[in-house]
Amino acid sequence: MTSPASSSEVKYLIESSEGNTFDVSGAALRQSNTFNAMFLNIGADGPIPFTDYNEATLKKVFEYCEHSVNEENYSGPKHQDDLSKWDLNFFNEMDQKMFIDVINASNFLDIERLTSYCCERIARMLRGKNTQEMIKVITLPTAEELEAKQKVEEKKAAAAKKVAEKAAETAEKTETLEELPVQQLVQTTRNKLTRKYLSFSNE
Amino acid sequence: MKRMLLTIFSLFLLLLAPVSAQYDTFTFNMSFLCGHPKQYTYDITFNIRDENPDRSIREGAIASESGEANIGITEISKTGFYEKELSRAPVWEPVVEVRHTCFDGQKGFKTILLTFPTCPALRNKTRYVYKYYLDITDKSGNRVADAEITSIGPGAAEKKKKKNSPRTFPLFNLPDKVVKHVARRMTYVEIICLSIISDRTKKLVKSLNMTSKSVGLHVWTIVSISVPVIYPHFIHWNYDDVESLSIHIQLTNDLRDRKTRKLTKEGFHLGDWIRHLLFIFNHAELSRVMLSTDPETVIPKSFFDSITGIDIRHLEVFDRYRIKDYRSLLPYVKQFTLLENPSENRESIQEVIIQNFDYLGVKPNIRLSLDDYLLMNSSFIKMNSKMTQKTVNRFIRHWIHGSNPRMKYMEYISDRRRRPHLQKILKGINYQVVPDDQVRVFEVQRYTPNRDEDLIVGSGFNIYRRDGTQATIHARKLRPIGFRLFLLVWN
Repeated sequence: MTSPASSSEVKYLIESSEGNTFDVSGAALRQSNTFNAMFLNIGADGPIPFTDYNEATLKKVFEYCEHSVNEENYSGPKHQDDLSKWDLNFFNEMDQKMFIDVINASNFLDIERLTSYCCERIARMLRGKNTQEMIKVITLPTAEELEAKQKVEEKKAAAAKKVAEKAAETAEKTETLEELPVQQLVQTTRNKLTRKYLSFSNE
Repeated sequence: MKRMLLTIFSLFLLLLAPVSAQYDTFTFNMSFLCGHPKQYTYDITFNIRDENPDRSIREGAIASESGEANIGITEISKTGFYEKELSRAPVWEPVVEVRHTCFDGQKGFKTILLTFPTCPALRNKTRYVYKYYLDITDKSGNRVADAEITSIGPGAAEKKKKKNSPRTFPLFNLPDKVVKHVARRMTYVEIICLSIISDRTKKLVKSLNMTSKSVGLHVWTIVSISVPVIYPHFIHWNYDDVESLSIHIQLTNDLRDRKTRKLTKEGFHLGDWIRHLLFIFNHAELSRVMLSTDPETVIPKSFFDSITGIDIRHLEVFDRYRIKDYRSLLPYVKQFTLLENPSENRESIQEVIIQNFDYLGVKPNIRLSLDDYLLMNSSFIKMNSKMTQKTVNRFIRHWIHGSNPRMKYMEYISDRRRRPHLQKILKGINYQVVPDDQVRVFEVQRYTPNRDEDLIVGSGFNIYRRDGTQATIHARKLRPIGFRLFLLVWN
């Protein structure tokens, strides 16, 4: 069981679309409003399923979150020119496909700072352009692509539901635990913690 | 603000390895931090040298800025080559000086792109960039800004090659929320350009909930569309190029984006453009339309046909327009001011004044009789100063007997007398003096084009109409001379 007070020290397991799991610090994860809304106050039992996104994308997103843990609180969008060297390198390293995946994941996880910087980079592509020039940059989707997008949106809604169910399930277990006798509660919590942090025992 | 000229000290040898051997041109992406509390001007000297120099390559190899220079860079000059180290001569160095003005409060990394133009003599030459001067100090030798080259990449020629394979981005495959985020980071001008790409972009832009205080139209030799929120940009439409709009910037504004943009949409006319702008700026009506032009300009009928049907809050007609020109607009006009009437045709003017406007104002240079005023059907009637106070009295008496039934407010302005001659104005009218403790608020704001508050009245004379309707006659000073008289009907 993870308490809110200790969430910056603990690590959470994240599950990607490949079924792989990896750990992310609570401090990094707290930059996700989606996570905050679902798990911050109740903790997570087992891996958190962000199974709509692949491991590489999620790792990239959380790389950004880990980096910005110590930065001052996000206070609204910044201009591209205000980005640090690290930020610039972070974005420059990505190809377009990865960039799009990162935006989508960041949007789903509702990480304001990362989403904002991604959007600023896209806006820069259109900066100073007239309509004709914009059309050349923006590839307008075909009817098939629009349909596909619709399906993706539906899939994402289903994924969000799955995450929400997981959160609800965890919350339910938490409530059950609170009803157990004290000794049993201690044992159950110990078992859960052992299971959860087994993979981090070398730290 | 105090300006200080700062000098540059060339101190650092930051990049020792040869960096680019194959490019015809270089682009240097250099960032520097400027966060001075005061306004400074300083120079950056930026040198590039070829380890295997060849004097023949000097021509055309001087750097120039790429146009991506950022706010604060006021001047970029090229000082040419010079021989730096005579022992190794002929070593050449193109020198670029960047003059940057830091304004109070400006802070953050800025990027300068310096591009060396394509030069046949440079082709296939191996060049080494190994030195640049970046340490910026003030006169006392204190460092005031840090700078570093963050990347060195291909120059214009290589970029051109890339340009041939167009750089595209599938913006609309992203979730709508993200697309909205992107749009919010664009300028108003860019957003207008985006909005005409498709019906979807139009709806997307509308959903940003941008609002402009007003959207207006000034018709003269060209048509200016006023959208205050996009200031300092302004929009023009031309009678000869009906499918296009052009967006200009005021010359006095020192902004990066000075480019005039032309927006063209096949099949569009002025009316379509206005409907589009009203839609994306969430406006239901044109706030103000001014018809004024010089006599040589022929306003085509198609112009009026095009904007017919668009709701207009306030229409002002100047100069040479005849009623037949703008007749089709009148059913959609709420407030109307007639400033000049070229025809002097009584029937023509009566056709205008009998319309049911919220506000009707006719300027004093147009002669109107009492009968004309009795024909008016507007909620707010502004009587011009040419009318005598005796005529005002007769108008009020007619109102008591049932004329102008739609009228809620009447305003009469006298610029010739210091005080109202109340004996004349109230002659033959039964009235009661407004009691000292009676204050009444009349909601005139929405009926008049120029008033931004309602009338609070605590004095005057209460009168009754024959059907029982009550009203107050109220006068107040009009500085420097004259007075205003109101007939205010109670709700």
